[in-house]
Order: sequence, then structure tokens, then C-alpha cells
Amino acid sequence: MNLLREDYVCTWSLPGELEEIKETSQSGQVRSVAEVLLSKYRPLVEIIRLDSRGVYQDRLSMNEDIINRFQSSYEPKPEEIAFLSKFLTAGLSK
Amino acid sequence: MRSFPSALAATILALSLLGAMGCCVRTVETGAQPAKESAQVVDVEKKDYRLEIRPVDVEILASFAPFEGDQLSEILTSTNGKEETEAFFYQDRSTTLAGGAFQGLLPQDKVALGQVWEIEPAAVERFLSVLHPNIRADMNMDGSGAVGALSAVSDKFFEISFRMHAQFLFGEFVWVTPAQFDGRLVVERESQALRRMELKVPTEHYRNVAFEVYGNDLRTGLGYTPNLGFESGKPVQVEWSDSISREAIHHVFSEHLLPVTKIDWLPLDEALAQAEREDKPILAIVLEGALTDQSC
Repeated sequence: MNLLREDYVCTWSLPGELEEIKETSQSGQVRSVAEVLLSKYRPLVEIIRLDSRGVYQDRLSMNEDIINRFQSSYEPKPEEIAFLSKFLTAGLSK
Repeated sequence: MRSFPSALAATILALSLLGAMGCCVRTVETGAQPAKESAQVVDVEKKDYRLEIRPVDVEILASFAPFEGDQLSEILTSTNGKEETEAFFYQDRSTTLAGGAFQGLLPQDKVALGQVWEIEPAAVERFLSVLHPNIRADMNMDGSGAVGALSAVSDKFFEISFRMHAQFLFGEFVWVTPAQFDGRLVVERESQALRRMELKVPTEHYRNVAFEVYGNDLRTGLGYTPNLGFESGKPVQVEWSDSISREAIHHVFSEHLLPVTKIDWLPLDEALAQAEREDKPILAIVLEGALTDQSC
């Protein structure tokens, strides 16, 4: 953590927020960097390195490392599926 | 120009970071900390106060606006759910919170303004059970915990702020994890009466809830609720003699619960300006849920 603090300037964003920055920022450089970050982003998490002027350098392929941690589980019971469906339908119907 | 740290070093850093994020590396953590005072104190004048709330049942209004989000549709489809029904959560309704539920939120010993204490999982569950009976404070991911702090003082009132991480479990398979629960109590000092209570899931980001469905494959999704929480009493206008800003309290709570927030994360425009000023490379993380809470 300390190394991160010392070696990098750190920032994080949600993709939707980057979209907004790309569209609305007053700074051309900020809009451009937001566009680059979006173009390099793959769900769920992307770690991207830029140089001190915001020029893209590389990205760390963390996504498979993360996804592979999700282990297969068991079949949900019908009532569990039904319950989730009801729950989510309520949200979607809004 | 500075050279980049090596790729290996950066990878190790990133792995450490992801471990600290809690949102991506799922581990089962049990054995919560007992309520105790923390050494983490916002820098203010040290004067200790004993905090007490009279254990009287409190009428509350719980509110919930159904979850929204594109990924919910995907999850819904994957579970073949087409049924029409009402939301599961208790929607805008009045209920009673037992007076004893507040006792577990308070520190046993005197505390100073800004001093942070930990809240036991059992107390969190008791408090949040008015939203849903199956609430779990010991979560199936990193980041479990709850903290409180005395955030403002006047001759007549105390203000207590708290932040809780917890998740709802539906049956054995469906976990719903709000970003955090952000709360505030205003207590009359002399009578120890609770005058105002607010608890909500923050809405500053467009994603503030995570879903996990454990089926043949683990399915995850992110959504948003514009309103999930409860309140009691009318807003109280108080001229505080000593107080800590909401930003400072939020920062201290974040650092206590999520080590990753000890890094000075800057908005993109500020990061670009600082990087150029200090001639340092930028490490940018783009992710589906907020780095500084449990919604990712």
C-alpha cells in the first residue's frame, strides 16, 4: 500500500462516470484520458497505468485472476430462484 | 522523468490492492471484533463524554425503492424469472425498533469527539433487522465491520454517526450487499432521549448494491437503489459547539473499515494535475462498483 502511494498517483472511476467525464469535462486532456481508460476497460476490474502526462502505458490483466476465484457452486432450489425472480422483477418493473 | 516501477512490482502492488479492496476477493470472515474504542481519533480537543440512549421503543419509517440496473435483467433472465410480483423488501412502512437495539451501537466507555469505536455484528444485525429479517453483518466477503463516532456536541445534544457494512441473505443462495449503511443519531443529553435517527444507503454513485447468486455458476450483478433506509423523529436544528465535518467522519470510517482507502485516491482531473506536477505515473482503476464501499 505504501509503495502504491509513493510510486503512483492513484485514481479510480466507475465506467459510467468516465463516460460522463468524457462528455462533459472542460479539459481536453481529461476528456481524452477518460476515453482511453474506457477503451481499455474490461469488466469487472481493470488496472491501467498511465505516464505522468496521462499517456497510456499498459494494463494489468487482473480480470481472469479475479474471475477464476469464483468457484462453481450448487444448483439453487426452485424456491430460491422463484424468490430472486420476484425480487428482481419488482426492481425491473419500476 | 521517473521510470516506471517494474511490471512485477506493479503486479504485486495490484494484488495487494485487490486483496484490500474486498470487493473482488471473496473470503469468509468470522469472529467479529468486540465493541471497543479505537486509537483512531480525528484531531480535535480531547474531552470525554459518556453516551447513553434511553432504552425506549422507537417508531420508525422504513423506506425502499426497488433496485434498478441493466445487470439485474441479465440475472433475472439467467434464473428464468418472469413472474410479476411486489418487491420483497418492506416498502415505506412504519414499524417499531426496540429501544435495546440502540445500546449495542454505543461505546461502553467514555469517548472524545471524533473517536471511533467498533460496533459488534450482533448489534448491527439487531439494528438493521427492521429492513429485512435475514441480515448478516459477518459477510461472505472482506470488509465486514461497523463503526461509530461522536461527531458533534452541544450543551443539549450529542450527534453520533456510524457506518455499517452488512448484507441480506435470501435463503442460502442469494446475497444482496448494499454499498454501506450511513447513519446518524441525535440524542438529548439530559433526558438521553433519541430525538432524530437517519440511516440510508448512499446514492452518490450510480451503483450502490451488489448481488451474488450461487447456482451452478456464481452470478454477480450490480444495481442501484435510490432509497433504502429508515428514519425516526423530525430533523433537529442544533447549533453545535464542537463538531467534525461529515467529510472527515466519512474519511475516518472508510480508513477504519477499508484499508484501501488509506491511499489518497483522487478524481481523474486532480490525478492528472498532480501526476504532471510531481512527475509520477498514474495508476487508474476502472471497476464496476465503487472502490470505497461494498458495492463492487
